[in-house]
Amino acid sequence: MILDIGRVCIKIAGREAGNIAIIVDKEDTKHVLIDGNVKRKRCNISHLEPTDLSLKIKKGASHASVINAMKKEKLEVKPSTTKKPKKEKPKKQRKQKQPSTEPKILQKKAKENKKTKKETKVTKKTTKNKTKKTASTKKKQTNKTKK
Amino acid sequence: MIKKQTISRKMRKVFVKTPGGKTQLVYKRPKTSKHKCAACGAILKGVPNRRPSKVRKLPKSLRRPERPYGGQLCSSCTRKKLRQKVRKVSKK
Repeated sequence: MILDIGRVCIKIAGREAGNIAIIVDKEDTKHVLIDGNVKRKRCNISHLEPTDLSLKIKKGASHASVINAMKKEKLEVKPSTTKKPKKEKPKKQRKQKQPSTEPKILQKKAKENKKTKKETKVTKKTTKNKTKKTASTKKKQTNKTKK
Repeated sequence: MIKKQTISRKMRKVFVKTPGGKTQLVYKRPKTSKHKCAACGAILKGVPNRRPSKVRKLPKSLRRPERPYGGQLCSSCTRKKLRQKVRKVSKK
């Protein structure tokens, strides 16, 4: 048989076309298992073109042993395309407060100003809520009177 | 004044129906021709025939099939070409 185990072929179809593939195992009359400069997988015979070279490998040989046999025969070995591991992003850290260079009297004043601002905000909120409540009660009363 | 591009008949005429119900004439850029195999002339699959400015914005993997002679030859012609190459080397 031309397409026996260890036969050096060249892949014709697919994204790996033009690469060296070596038959590792036979699956059925139409399909074989290939390895080498292609991903180890099942392949149709019609997608392979055999050459006159053949390597001495066992049936179902591993990827490493196939590549060793290729190196002995001085065939070109392409590095396997493995995905690079993603780099972890550094976690965001809060900025640390730096000690202020202002004199102590000014610092006290700034604190007091903050307090007053907060109080004014609270008072505004309470007045808004009261006005809303009064408006809603008035509406209810008017509805009752209509009925 | 009429625009030059309308007089030259470079632009494609398209009738568009407006939301008001009227039909309006709109001038559009002409469609690009489909890409063909350099060996046999068959229409290539997996190659978009859009305006070049829009094709340039696509990722490279969507512009042509990712195999040798992808976007130049059809799949059957690439098989023939690769087979010929292998047989030439094995003869030597």
